[in-house]
Amino acid sequence: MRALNAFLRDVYSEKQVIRDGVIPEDFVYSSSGYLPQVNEVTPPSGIYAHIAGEDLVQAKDGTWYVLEDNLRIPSGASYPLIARNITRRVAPDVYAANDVVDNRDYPDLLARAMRYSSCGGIPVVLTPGRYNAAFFEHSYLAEQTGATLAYPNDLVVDNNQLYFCDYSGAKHKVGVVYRRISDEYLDPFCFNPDSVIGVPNLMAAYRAGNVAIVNAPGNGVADDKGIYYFVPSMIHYYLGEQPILKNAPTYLPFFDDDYAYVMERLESLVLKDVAEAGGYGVVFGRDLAPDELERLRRSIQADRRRFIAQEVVDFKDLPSVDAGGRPCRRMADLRAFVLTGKSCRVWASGLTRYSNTPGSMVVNSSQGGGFKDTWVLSR
Amino acid sequence: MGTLTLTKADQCLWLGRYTERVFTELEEFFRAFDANVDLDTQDFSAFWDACDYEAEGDKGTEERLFDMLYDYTDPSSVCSDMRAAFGNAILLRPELGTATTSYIELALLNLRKSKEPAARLVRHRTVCDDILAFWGAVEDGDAPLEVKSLIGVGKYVERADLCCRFGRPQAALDEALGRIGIFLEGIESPECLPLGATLSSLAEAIGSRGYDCALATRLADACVGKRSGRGSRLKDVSA
Repeated sequence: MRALNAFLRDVYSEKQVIRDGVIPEDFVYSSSGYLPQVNEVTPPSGIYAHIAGEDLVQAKDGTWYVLEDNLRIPSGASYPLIARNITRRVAPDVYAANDVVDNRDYPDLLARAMRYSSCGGIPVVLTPGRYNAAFFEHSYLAEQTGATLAYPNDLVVDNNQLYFCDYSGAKHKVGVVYRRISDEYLDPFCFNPDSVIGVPNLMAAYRAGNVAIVNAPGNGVADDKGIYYFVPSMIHYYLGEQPILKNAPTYLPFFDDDYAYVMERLESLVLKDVAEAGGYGVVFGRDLAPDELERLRRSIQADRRRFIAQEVVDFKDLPSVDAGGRPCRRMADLRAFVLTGKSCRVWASGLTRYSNTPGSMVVNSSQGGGFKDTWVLSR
Repeated sequence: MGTLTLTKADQCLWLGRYTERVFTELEEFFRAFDANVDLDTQDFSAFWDACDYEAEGDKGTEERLFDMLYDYTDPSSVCSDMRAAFGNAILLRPELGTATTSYIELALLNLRKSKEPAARLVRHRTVCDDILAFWGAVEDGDAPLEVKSLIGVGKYVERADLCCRFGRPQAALDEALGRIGIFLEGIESPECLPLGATLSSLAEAIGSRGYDCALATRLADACVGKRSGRGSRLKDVSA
C-alpha cells in the first residue's frame, strides 16, 4: 500500500518513475484510470488510497498470490461485518470454541482513516442512491461510522467549499467525503458532463484543499491491470524492499518477449482486457474454440497494450453448500481490506468470494458469485 | 439542526404514517372479522369504505379480503402500505439503526406469511407486535430527536385520520391530535417542512367527517408560524 500510494503521488506530480524507466509512459498515460484533471493535486494528508481491496488467492501448494489491487472504490466490507454480527448471535459457541479475531472494528478503522484526512467538518458517505447495487453497504457503513449518508442533491459547493444542506437550508461544512460514485460521474463540471449523480464543482473544492475525497480521484491508474505487472518493481523502486506476496505470473504483450510467449501459449493462459472490470473481459484460452482463439490472437495483435496474460493459478477450492444445501467445494478468493490513515492497517477479516458454478474461477458477485465472512484465527 | 434533509424528513413522516396505517387497519380488520364470525352474512362494507378499498364487483368476500390485505399492486392494500413503510425504513438506516429498521422487515415478512386463512389472524398479531417493537425501538434508540418527532407526527396524523374514518369517538381523535402537538415540539423548524399543509389537509378531512377540527387547524397554523414564540406556541396549542 505504501508503494502504491507513493506511485500515485509520483505519477500525479514529478513522474520520476517514468523518467527512471521503471514504468513505460504508455502504461500510465493510456490508462483510462489516469486523470489529467488531478495532475499536480495533492490530496489532504497526502493519502490517495485510504481503502484498498487486495484480491488474493491461495494456490494448491499453499502459496498466496495477489490477483488485483482495487484502489478506486473497493466494496464488500459490510457483508462479512453484518454476517459476523448475525452469526455471533445465532452460534456463539462456534466463536467460543475457535479463536476468531473479532472483526467488528472495521467501522472504527474506517472512521479513523476518514478523520485523519478530514479538512474539518462533518464526514459524509456519498451514495448515488437507493437503486445502486451496493446501497445497503453505503447506508450500513454510514450508520456504523456515524457519518452522514448524503445523496448528490444534498451537497453543494460554494466558494470552493463543500457543504451539506439540511431541510432548513442551513449549510454544514463537509471535511471528508467517502464517495461511492466512480470518478467519471463525480463532478459533471470536471468529468462526464452528463452525470446526474455527481456534485458540481466538487473537484474545485478538492483542488483547493478544502475537502478530502476517499479514495482520491485518479487512483484507477494504479489498479489498472497493465500497471499490476509493475507493482513488484514499484515496491523495490519506492521502498527499497522486496514484495512479501507474489503476483500471479503475468505477461504484457506490449513487450516483444512476452508477446511471443503469449502467442505461443495462448491456449494455456488467462487473458484479461485491461479496460474491463468486475470479472468481465476475462477469458481462459483453454475454454476457447479454435476460431475464438484465432479472433483473440488477432485482437492482441491489433492492440498489444489492451491485454495482459497470466498463468492460470490452480487455486484452492473451499467447502461450501450448493443451491440445494448440499456440501460441495467451490473456487474462492479473498479480498483483504487495508485502511490507511496515520498508518496502514490490514483489517483482521475480509470478504471471501466464491464461484457458484462448479469448477469456475470467476467469483465476482456481478457474475453470480457468493460471499462468506472470513475468519482470522488468533492461535 | 443536525443533518436531516427535506427528503429524509419526508421519509420519516411517511414511515410514521404507513406503519400506523398497517397497524390500525389490521386491528380494524380483526374487529370487523370478529364481528362477522357469529353471523350468517359477511358484511365488511364499512371496513372497506373506511379503507377507501374499491373491490371489483364480481369478487366474493374472501377474495376481496385477500386482495385488500395482500394485493401489492393495489395502493390501498395493507401489503402495499407495509412495502411503502419498508421502502422508507431502509432509507433511514443510518438514522434509525439496522436493529430498529429490521423490525419493519420482520413485519413485512410476517405479513407475507399470513396469507393462509387458518393462520391469518395469529400472524397479523405478530405483524402488529413487530410494528409495536419498531415504535418502541425508535423511542428507545439513539435516533436524533427530530427523526423520532417526525415519525411520531406522521404516526399520529395517520391515527387521527383513521379515527375519523373508523368512526372513533372525538376523545380518541383529540388524543391523537394532542400527541401531534407534543411531537411537533421536537422539530426545530417546522415552518421549513410541509407540515402546515399536511395538518391543514387533516383538519379538512376531520371536518368533512363531522368532527371538531379546531385543534387540528390550530396545529396547522402553528406549523406555518402564524403565531410568535414557537416553543410556547405549540405547548399552548396541544394543551
